[in-house]
Amino acid sequence: MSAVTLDHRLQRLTPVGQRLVWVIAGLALAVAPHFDHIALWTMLIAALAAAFRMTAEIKRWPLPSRAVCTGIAFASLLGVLAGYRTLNGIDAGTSLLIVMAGMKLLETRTVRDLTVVVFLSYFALFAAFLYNQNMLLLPYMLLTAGLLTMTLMRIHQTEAMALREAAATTAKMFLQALPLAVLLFLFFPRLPGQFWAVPARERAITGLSEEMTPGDVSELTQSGAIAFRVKFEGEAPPPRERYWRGPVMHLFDGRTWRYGGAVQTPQQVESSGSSYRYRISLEPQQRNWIFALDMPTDWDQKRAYRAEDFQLHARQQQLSVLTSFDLESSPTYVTTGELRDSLRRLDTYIPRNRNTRTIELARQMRERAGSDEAFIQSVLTKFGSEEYYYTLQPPALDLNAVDDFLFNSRRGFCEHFASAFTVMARSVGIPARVVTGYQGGEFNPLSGYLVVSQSDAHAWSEVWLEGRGWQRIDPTAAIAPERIERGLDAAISSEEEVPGRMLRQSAVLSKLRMAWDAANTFWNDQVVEFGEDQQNWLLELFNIENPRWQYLITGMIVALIGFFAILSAYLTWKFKPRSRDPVAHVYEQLCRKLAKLGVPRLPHEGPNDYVTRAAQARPELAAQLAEVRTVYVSLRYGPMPLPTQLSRLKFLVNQLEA
Amino acid sequence: MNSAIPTLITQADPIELIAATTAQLNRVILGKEHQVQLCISCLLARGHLLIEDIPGVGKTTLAHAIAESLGLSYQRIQFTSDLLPADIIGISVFDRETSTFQFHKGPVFSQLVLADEVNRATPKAQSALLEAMEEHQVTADGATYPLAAPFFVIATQNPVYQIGTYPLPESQLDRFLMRIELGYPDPTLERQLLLGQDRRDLVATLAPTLSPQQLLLMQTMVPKVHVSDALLDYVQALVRYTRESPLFEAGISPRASIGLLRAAQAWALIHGHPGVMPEDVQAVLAAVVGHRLKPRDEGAPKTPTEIGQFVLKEVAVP
Repeated sequence: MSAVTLDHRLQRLTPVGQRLVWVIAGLALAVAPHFDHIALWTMLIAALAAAFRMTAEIKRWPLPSRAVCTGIAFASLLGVLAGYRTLNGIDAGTSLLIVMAGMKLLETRTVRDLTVVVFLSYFALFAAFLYNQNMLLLPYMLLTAGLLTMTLMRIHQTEAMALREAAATTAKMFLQALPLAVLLFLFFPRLPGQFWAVPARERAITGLSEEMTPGDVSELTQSGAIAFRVKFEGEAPPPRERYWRGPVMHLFDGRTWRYGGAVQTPQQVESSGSSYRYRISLEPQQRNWIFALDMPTDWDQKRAYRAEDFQLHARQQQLSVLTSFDLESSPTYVTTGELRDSLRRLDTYIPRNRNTRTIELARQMRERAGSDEAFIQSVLTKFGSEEYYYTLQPPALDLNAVDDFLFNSRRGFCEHFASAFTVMARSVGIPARVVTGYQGGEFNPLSGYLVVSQSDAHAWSEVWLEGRGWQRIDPTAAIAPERIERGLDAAISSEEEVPGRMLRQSAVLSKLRMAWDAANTFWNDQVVEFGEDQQNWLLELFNIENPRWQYLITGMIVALIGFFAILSAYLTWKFKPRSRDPVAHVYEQLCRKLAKLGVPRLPHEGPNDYVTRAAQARPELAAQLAEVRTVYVSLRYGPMPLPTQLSRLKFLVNQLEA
Repeated sequence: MNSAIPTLITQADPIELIAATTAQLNRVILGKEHQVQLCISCLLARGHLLIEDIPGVGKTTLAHAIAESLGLSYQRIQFTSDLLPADIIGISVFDRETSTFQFHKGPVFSQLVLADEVNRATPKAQSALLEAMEEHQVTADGATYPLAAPFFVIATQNPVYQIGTYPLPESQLDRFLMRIELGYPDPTLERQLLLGQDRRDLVATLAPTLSPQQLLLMQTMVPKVHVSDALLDYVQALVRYTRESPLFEAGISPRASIGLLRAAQAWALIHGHPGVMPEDVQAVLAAVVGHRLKPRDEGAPKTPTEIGQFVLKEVAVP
C-alpha cells in the first residue's frame, strides 16, 4: 500500500486522528535507530502510549487527566534514573527523550501538543548520530526528517494538505536549507577539548580485548567489521611487514593471557631501513589503542604516547568515534633499552604446576639447541615440520591449554602457536610475551586505502635476547607462511570455511565491496572526520590563517544575522503591498504632525475629510492646511501631478509647527 | 424657471449643468441632497437605481422630477402580482391588413422607466425587466429591439417584510448599481412640505436643465475621470475586505467592484474633482455595496446602510 493510498484511507478518521497517525509514525521512525542501544522498556512505554492514544481517538475515550499524566511521567523519570543511575549522558538522555515523547502523546489535544511531539521526534532522530556516524544512517535520517517536516507542515494546515504537495514543499525547503547546512558544516568552529566531544559510552564493539584465551582471535576473525584504514604517503610496506601492533600480553595463568596496562616509560628504539608515513583512521572502539605499524617512530605527542611495551595509545580515555592519526613507522628496528628487573620477572613467569609437559619439552629442546637463538629456531622448525595444522576452527582446550594443544589436538590458530611458543620460551628463562594486533590488510585501489578488518586479527610473540632487545617471532609464519604473505584466505585449506572468502574471491562482488568501502572511506574522511585541520586548510584558501575559534564563531554569528537580516528585508520589500511613493511618505509625516497637534487620523478617513477636520480643530492652520489638502489630493489622486507640487507639499508639511 | 437652459452648449461645464439639475431636484425633494446626488451619479455611471422605502416618502416624485429635469421620455410601470412580461416589454399583435405580426413596444422602451413596487410582481415579470436592464435590448418573437439611450431604470421597492411581496434575489439585486433609501424628512422640512405647493404640480412645472445628448456625453466622460494607483489600492482593499470578512456570506462581485469605481468616478465628476478621491468612493460605498452583502448571523450589521458604514469603517485608507 503506497503512502498516498494510506493517506486516502486515513480520511475516515477524525482530523486529529489523521494527524496523530502521522505524528506517531514519525516518532516511531525517529526512535527506530535507537533500538539496539536503548533499554527496551522505554521503547515499550512509548509504544504503549501511542497505542493507547490512537485507541482513545478511535473509540472516543477521554484522555487521561493532567494528574495521571504527571504521575506517569514522574514514574518514567524515576524508571530512567533507576535504570541508568543518572539522567546525564547520552544513553539516559536519549531514553528520557523517548519516554517523554511517548508521555506527551497522552496529552495531545491541540496542534501545539502535536508540534511538541514532532520536535521531540527530531531530537530523538538526530541523537542517533551520537551513537553512529555510519553513512547509511544519512539517507534514513533525511527521509525521516522529511516525513517529520511534512507532518509538521500538515498539522498546521486548516485545510487538508495533500501528501504530494507536502512532500514537494518539504523537498523545496530542504534544498533551500542545503547551502546553509553546508556553510555551517564547513565553517562552524570545531571546538577543541573533551567537553564538546561525544561522551564515551559502555557498549560492546567487536575488536581485540585486554585478554586472550586460545580461540579468541579465531573467533574475532569471524567478524567482517573494519578495524581501521590506513593511507600511506608513498609506497605501502610489503605484506610480511604489515604488523599492526595492539595490546601486549604479559600475564599468563596457564590458559589465558592478560594485558598488563600501559606504562608511560619512554623506550629507546633505533630504526634502520625504510620508514613509512601514513594516516590511520580507527573505527570506534572501547579503548584508546592506536594500531600503529610496528614500530611507530613518530607521532603527535599531544594526542598520543608510546607505552613501555611499544604500543601506541591515544591520550584520551576512549576512541568512541572515528579518529585519525598521522604516524611514522619503521618495520626494521632494534630496541636499545634495558629490560627492567620487574618486567623480566613478569615476562619469564609461568605457573609451574600447569602445562608441565610443555615445560619439560622446552627444557629438553634448550639443552639440545645450546643457545637461545638455536632454541627458538628449533621450536619454529618443530611447528613447521611436525603435524601441526593451521585452522580457523581449533578444538576446545582444557585447563592446561598449551599441553593439550601441543600434544593432543595439534590444531590451532595464530594465538595457539603464539601462546605455545611464548610459554616454551619462558620455560627456559627467555623473557617472552604475546603481542596481539592485526597482520596484513587489503588494499582498496578505489580509495587508495589499506583496509584492515577484524578478520586480520593476529597474535605473535616477542622475545628478549641479550644485546638485541625485543625480537618479533611469529610462529604462524613457520606453520602457515601464506597467512603472512597472502592473508587468511590463502592460509586456510579450501575444505574449511572462511567467512567472506567467497565474497573476496568473486571478482564482481569484490569490486562492489571495494566500491562500498571507498564510499565509506570518503564519508569518514570528508564528513565524519572533518575537523579543525581540514577547516583551517579551507580557511587558508580564504586567506584566514590560524583563526581562534572565538573569532570564527563570532564571525559566523554576525554573518548569519546579516544573512537573515538581508533575507527578511528582501522578503518584506517583496511582500509589501506597494512600494511607498514619496507623496505617501510626506502624507504620513503630515498625519504624524497633525496627531501631535491633537487631531489623529482615523484609519478609514480620507485625506479631504481629515485635513478639513484638522482645519476645523485648529483654525489657525486652516489656510496652510487648505493648500496642503489641494496639493496632496492633486499629487496622489489627480491626473497630472506636477513635480514642483511635491516639493511644495514637502515644504508645507515641514512648515507645520508640531 | 430662472436658470438658463444650456441645451445648445455642448461643451458646457458638466459641474455647472449638474449643479443646476441637482438644485432643481432639491427644490422638489426637500432635504435629500445626498440621495439626489447619488441618483445623478448612478445615472451618469449608466447604472440602475433601486429605491427601497415605505410608500409615500417621495420615490415616485423623485423619479418623475429627474425625468422632467433631464428631458427624458418617462414611463411608469406599476408592478402587481398579475403583471406579465408582455406588459413590460411589449407584445406582437396580428395585423389583418398586412397579414403580419406587428410588435407593439411596451413601457420599457422609454428613457426613464419607473418600476414601482418591483417586489410586488412575480419573479417572471421581475426578470423580464431586469434582463432588459442588463442587456439594453429586448428580444421578442425572434427580433431584437434596442432600448432607448440613455436608458435608466428606477425601481422602487417596499421593505421586504411586507405581506404579498417577492423579494428580489441577490442575483437580481446585483444588477442595480445603487440602492438608496429616502427616509422621513426632518421636522422643519416636513413643515415646508406641508405648507408648500403640491409636489406633483411642482414637477409639472419643471423645465429640462440638461439635454439627453449632454447626458450621453457626460456618461462617456465618467470612465475617463482619473483614477490613481493609490485609489485603486483603496478600492481593492475594500473589495478584498468584503471577500475575506467572515461576517458576510460572500464578498462583492467583480461587476460590483467595477460599479463601485464607476459610481465613484461619477461622483467625482459631478463634484468637480480632478481625480477620484477616497471620499468619492466612501460617498457611494453604502449605496453600491450595501444591498450586495448578505450578513451572517454573528454580530454582523443588518441593514444595507449599516453594512456600508461598517465596511467603510473597517478598511483603512492607504
